[in-house]
Order: sequence, then structure tokens, then C-alpha cells
Amino acid sequence: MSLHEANPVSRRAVLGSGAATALMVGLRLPWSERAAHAQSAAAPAEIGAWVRISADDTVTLLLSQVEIGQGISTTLPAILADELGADWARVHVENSPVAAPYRNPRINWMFTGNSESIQSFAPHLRKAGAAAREMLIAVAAKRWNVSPDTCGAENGQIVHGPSGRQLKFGDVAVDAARLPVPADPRIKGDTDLRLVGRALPRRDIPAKVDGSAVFGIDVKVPGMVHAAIRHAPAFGGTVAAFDAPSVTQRPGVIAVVPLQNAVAVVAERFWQAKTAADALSVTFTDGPNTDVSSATLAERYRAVLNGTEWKATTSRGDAPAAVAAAGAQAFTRDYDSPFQAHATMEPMNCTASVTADVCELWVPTQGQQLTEIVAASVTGLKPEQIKINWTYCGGGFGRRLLADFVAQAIVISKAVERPVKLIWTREEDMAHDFYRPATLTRLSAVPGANGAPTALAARLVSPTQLQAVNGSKLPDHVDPRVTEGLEDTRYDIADFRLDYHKLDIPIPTSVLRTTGFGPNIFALESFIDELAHAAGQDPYRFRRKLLAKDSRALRVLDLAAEKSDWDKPLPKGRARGIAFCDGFETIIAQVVELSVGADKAVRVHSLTTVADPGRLFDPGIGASNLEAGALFGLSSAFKSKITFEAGRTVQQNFDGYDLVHLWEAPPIVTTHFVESPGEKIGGLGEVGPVSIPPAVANAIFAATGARVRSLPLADHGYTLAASSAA
Amino acid sequence: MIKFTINGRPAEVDADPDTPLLWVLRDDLGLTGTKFGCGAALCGACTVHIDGEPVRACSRPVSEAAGRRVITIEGLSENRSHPVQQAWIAEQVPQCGYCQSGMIMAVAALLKERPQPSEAEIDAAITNICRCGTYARIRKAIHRAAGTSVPQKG
Repeated sequence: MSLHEANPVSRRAVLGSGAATALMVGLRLPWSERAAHAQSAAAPAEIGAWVRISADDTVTLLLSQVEIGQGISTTLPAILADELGADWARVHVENSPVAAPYRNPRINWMFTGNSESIQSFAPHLRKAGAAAREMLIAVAAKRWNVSPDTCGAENGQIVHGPSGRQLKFGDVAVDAARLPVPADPRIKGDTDLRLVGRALPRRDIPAKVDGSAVFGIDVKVPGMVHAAIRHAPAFGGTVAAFDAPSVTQRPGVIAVVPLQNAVAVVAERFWQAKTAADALSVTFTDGPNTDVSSATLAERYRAVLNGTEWKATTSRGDAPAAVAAAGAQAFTRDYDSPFQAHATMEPMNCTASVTADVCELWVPTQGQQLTEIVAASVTGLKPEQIKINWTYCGGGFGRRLLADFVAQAIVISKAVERPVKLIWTREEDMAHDFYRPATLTRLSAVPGANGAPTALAARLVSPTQLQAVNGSKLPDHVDPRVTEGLEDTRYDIADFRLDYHKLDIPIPTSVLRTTGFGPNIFALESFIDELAHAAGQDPYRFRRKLLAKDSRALRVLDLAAEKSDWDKPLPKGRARGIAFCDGFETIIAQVVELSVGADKAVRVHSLTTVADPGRLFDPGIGASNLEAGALFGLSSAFKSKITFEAGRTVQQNFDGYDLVHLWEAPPIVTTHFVESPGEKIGGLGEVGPVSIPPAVANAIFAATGARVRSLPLADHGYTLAASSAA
Repeated sequence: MIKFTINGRPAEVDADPDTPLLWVLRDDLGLTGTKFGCGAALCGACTVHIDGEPVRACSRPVSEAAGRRVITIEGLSENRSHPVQQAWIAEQVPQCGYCQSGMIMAVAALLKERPQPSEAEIDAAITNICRCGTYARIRKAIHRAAGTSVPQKG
């Protein structure tokens, strides 16, 4: 019995009411909208892979990247619409299929992450939009018997300049779709752009303030039932035995489905499934990892750091020899960053409907192509038999690049032969994440005559970040996501070497917003700050020396100093800290101003961010990413730490894994941009949190003289004070 | 059968009285704007109003709603016209948006009680979690909705 059949009265009460409009909006899913279009009129004309135009003049732009909060569902269509000459107020945006034309052109792989959406797709979409524009113009010009060069496209119309004649896109679309796609269309000059560079209202926001936005967890499919899951608590554990009859008599329960390391309970409603899963009599094995704990892991990291097994990922000059020769003059410090959970607000979930020859998924995923591969592997179906409907994601931060929860939903749907929505509880989500791995870093420098280092030798111990999302096996001690930020520093240091040891651990690890830049920039920017203070120099000016030949970096650093009033004296007890980073092709400097109370309660007064992403496509959305990213970084600095005992995760919910709240957020969070035309396009989704932890640690040192070399600050007794505190 | 008023209309549900209100709203009434975040009243993503009071629906049994008036994000206004929704749009607050239904409901309840709250009152009342970190815009939007000014000093 479906849930609505079970509740005819309540269904009528709600659907027949004044609330019906809101409710119907809530139920209207992007794919049903698409289906409705397809049924109501002839199929729209496809002008290349990205543009569809109906006879009624509706322009639909395809979106290949997932909206995880970064605003991409506005900016990428705007780039396309601008080049096309479409009327922005009237375009529709629709998720693309999982198919070759929509892959990230840099790596021929369909995913959303690594701050790559604009970097990789902006040039690609400008070309696609220009090609579609030329196809539409070609048809109009032919009809008018004029040269295409005398025509333009604006606001959804083709206009013949000399005569002022106009044709709607819809009038020429069918003929345009028959033309070959021009290989080398003319890209508009920047002065002809109407949308790029403007702060556009985000397309997804209206639906996110009235409850109508459909996240994966909100999907409804006819005949759908619900599943809850309990994983073996220890990593490497399995299901030894379970007693299905212990729950099958409970209300609503349909089935108990064993998986290798988990057991799922399927019921008519989620709460029935969840409570039955809690009540289920099940025995898990703990597997081989019960001796793994945060303490034993820390010993392993330390032993490896002091060991000899390394791979040099970057080397110029002979930094280790220079450090050895410097003897007591060498400056060496160790830095730790902890394991962290993604803790997306929307827990992992997936809805699957699997039959003998079709697997349809509704899933909040960042990993579209991996999801397809996993679905094909689990079902044995061909890609054309798999349909993936991706939804809004309630946060991603890299967790949703993976498809572990997708595989589970598919297996469960196959077992019960019905569409199933699997939802992880927060406890399952936190205890069975693929964590951002902890790192241990040793930095050794030889200070030169002016204090700036002439040699820097770095040793980095970290489990993999990239392997879980990488198609093929990475070589030993190679992981570009782990080493980024250190090996490619912009600081001008003559002799430099990074030695990496990839530590194998039984804890699942993967990328998390900031990837390797997070831990590496904490280590490097803390270290640079220590070197500055050791030399008795101002930390901002000390960095200027290391970037003296780098005008682009200096512009960012100088503006951060200016906007944060770096040289303005502060009242007693207040201090500033600065940190710098070049990450995701964006150069960023951040300044934190704070004061530290006697009880180590830290009041953050302001966060100032200056960023140069090369080119800024939307100043409003760009600033929002950096502002919020800075606060994400504040959680990372003060709070975020996952620990392990007996091979399992200790933290289970937000009480154990606390995040910054409104009352702790500083009252002043500002963002300033610099652009560098002609430089590579940079990403803005991930870089915002990167420099905050070292900037905070550096400010705490400036305020108190106490240096923190391991995160989070909570481990050292620091807390965030209420920002409204007197 | 448990009867209550949902967004101004009568509702009747056949659910275990211990079922959290959240899951009755989502699975029985189809009102999925109210989100599941933690199941432990820690994050506030499930905030709704019962008789005008903000409550965390994940941790309130549906029996508690019996005979009372429940308002969810879908029923806060027609056409997003509530001042808090308007402020959220004007300040372009949401990013992933998952926490924002609960944020908006918590703020709407606060402003009904205290139309021009102080910073300390805002801090005490709005304890919801936003993982994206949109707090700076949330604070601006609260002030916009209240017609008050954002503090200029850190």
C-alpha cells in the first residue's frame, strides 16, 4: 500500500487546500518537468549539445555540473546564454544526461568538484554558445538573403542590423538544428557580454526559501519504499548473523537485506525502517582493525616521519643537504592536521528503481560518471540501460563524488523488486565517511641573511586523498591531491624539496573541500609566520620578500594588508594574523583579527579575504563562496576532528563533531577581488577555507605568544566566544 | 488517527504516535521542505512552528502536535512573501540551501516574538547549523527583515 493510499483523508486535506500550490511546486521534479515538455509539444530542436529551442520559443540550456551550493546552476548557464544571445529572464535550465558531450573536457570525465566547473567549462560553453548563435543566424540570414555578418543575436532574437528585421530563436531553431555545428565560431568580445561579470540573482534561491527545492532525500517515485541501514561499526567489519524475524512483524517492515558490511531494513516509511533497523538483532564482526585508534595511528605517523622511506615529488637544488649543513642554524617545526568528516547537512541517500533491464537512479551526487560505472557494475546493465537523475545536493564537499551509498540502494531495490529510497542517519553518515586524512608534516628551513629561507625541506606523511575517486591505481607515494599547496608554493625559495610518504591505513579516506591545500597551507603558512617572528620581522612584509618577483601575488597580499588595516595599531588584547595561498588556480590572502580571553575564549572580530581568480564570472556568487568558505575554515581551525577507537569512529553526530554556529561567526566578513586578464581561470568553491586555520593560529600567536602547531584549536583549550559578547 | 492543523488546513494521519513529527510531515504529508539533518535536535534543519513556537520536528513525537497548529516552510507564506523569505532572497543567502528552511522558520519565530532583536537575542535564538557557512549573510538578512542595521564594528 502506498503512503497516500494509506492516508486518503490527509492527502485530500493537504492537496485540496490553499497549500496545494506550494505542495505541488514541492513535488515538481526537474525530470517530470522535462517529461511534461516532451509530451506537450514536438521535441525541441537541438542546436548542438547544450542548447534546445522549442517552436514556442522556449530556450533550454543544459547544465552538466551539479548544484552543491556553489552557484554553478546560475553561472554556467549565464556564460552559455551570454554567448548565445538568449533572453536570460526566459531561459530554462535542465540537467544534462550523463553522456560524453557533458564530461569535463580537461579529463574527459563527468564529475563536479575540485573547483573545476568554471575553470574547465567556461571556455567550452562560450564556444558552444557561439556555435549555436552562428547556426541560428545562418538560417535567418539565408531567409533574409543577407550576409550573416550583418546579423546578431540579442534577447532571444536574431536581428539584421541594417534593416532592423527580427526573427525569434523559435522561428529558426528547427532549420538551425539541421546545420553542422561550426568548429571555430567567433567568440564575443568582453564588451559584448551582458551577463558574465555581473552579480546575477541565483536561479536556485527562490526554491530554497520556500521548501520546494528537491534534494535527493526529497525525491518521490511511484511505489517507492524506504530503507535504513546499519553498518558494521568497525572498518573492515562484516555482518556475521542477523535475525530477520526479530523485526519482520513490526509495522510497515517489508524486508531485511544483508549487504557485505551492513544490513538494511526496508519498510513503507522511513521511520518504520529506521526503528526496525535499530531493533534488529544483528551480530557484526569487527574485522582485523580493532587495534586501530587515534593513538596508534599517531605513533605510526611519527615513526614514518622519523623513517627513511620517501618519494621526492618536487626537488630543486639540494634542500636536505643545505639543512644538514646549516646545523643549529636550521629551523625545523612539525605540524599536524586531523582527520575530518564532510558532514554534509543532507546525509547520504539514493533512490533506486532497478528491474531486469533498467536501473534508474535519483541521487544527490557529484560523481555522475562514477555513479554510472558503479550502477553498471552492480547491475550488469549497459550504460544505456542506466538513467541517472541528479538532484540538488545538501552539501557535497567531495563526499558525494563517491558512490558507496548508490551501490547499496541498487542492491536493496533489486532485492525487494521495488523502487527504494535509502537514507543514512546522521550517525551512519559520520561514522562511515571517507575522511579527509590526517597529515603530519616536518618543515626545515635555512634562513638567509634577511631571514627569508634559502632552502626548505619538507616531509609529508598522509594517507591518500585521491585514490577513492581515481579510476586507476595510483603509484606508491604519489598523490597529487595530497601534495598540492606544498610542492607548488609560489614562494621564491632557491633550494626546495618535498618528500612524501603515502601511509596505508584501514580507514577510508578521500578528498574534502580544500583537499591537500588545507593541511599543507596550515603547515606552510604557520611555518613562514614562525620564520618571520624568529627573524623579528612583520609577517606580511616577510611574505612580500618571498614574493618579491611575483607582481600578481603581491597585488593580492598588499590589498589584504590594506583592506584589513594591517598597519593600524589595535587596542590591547587584539591581534591580526595573515596567511597566503595559491590554490585551485586562485591566489588568495586572508587576514583574521581576533582577541583571546583569559580562558582562551577567542573572539573573532573580522575575516578579510582578497582573491585573484584570474577572471571573475560573477562577483556576487564568487564573494558568497569565499565569505562562507572563510566560516567553513573557522570550523576547521577550531573544531573539526574525527578520532578513532577500536577500529571505529568515535564521533557520531554534531554534538561530537561540532561546527561553527551563527553566534560564533564574526560580525565582519569581507571579500575583495583582483582580476588578472589573460591568466588561467581560477576556482572559488574550495579555496575560501584554506588559509583561515593558519591565519587564526598566526593571530593567536600575535595576541598571546603561544604557537599552535596542531589542529583543531579545541585540542589546545581554545574556544570560539560569542561574537556579540561585550 | 492523529489530527492537527497543517499550514492552515486540517490533517489526519495514521501513524505511530511516537513517530517524530518530521517523518510524518515528510513521508505522510509529502511536505519535504522540512529537512532531516541529525535526528537529535542538534542542527535545526527540521525547524517548524507548533502554535507559533519553533520546534525541532525530528525530536518531537507527532502526538505532541495533536490538536495544535503546525506551520512548515511550505505554509510560511504564499509566494515567498514572508519578510524573512524576502530578506533571504534579497541577501542571496542560501548556498546548498539544505539548512535554510529550518533557518528561515527559526528566524520567523524569533521576529514574531522580538520584532527588532538585539545581537545577543539573535545569537541566543538562532542555533541552527549551516555547513556551507552562510552565517554572514544570514545575519544581514535577519537585520533586513527586522528593519534594523547590521553591526559595523567587530
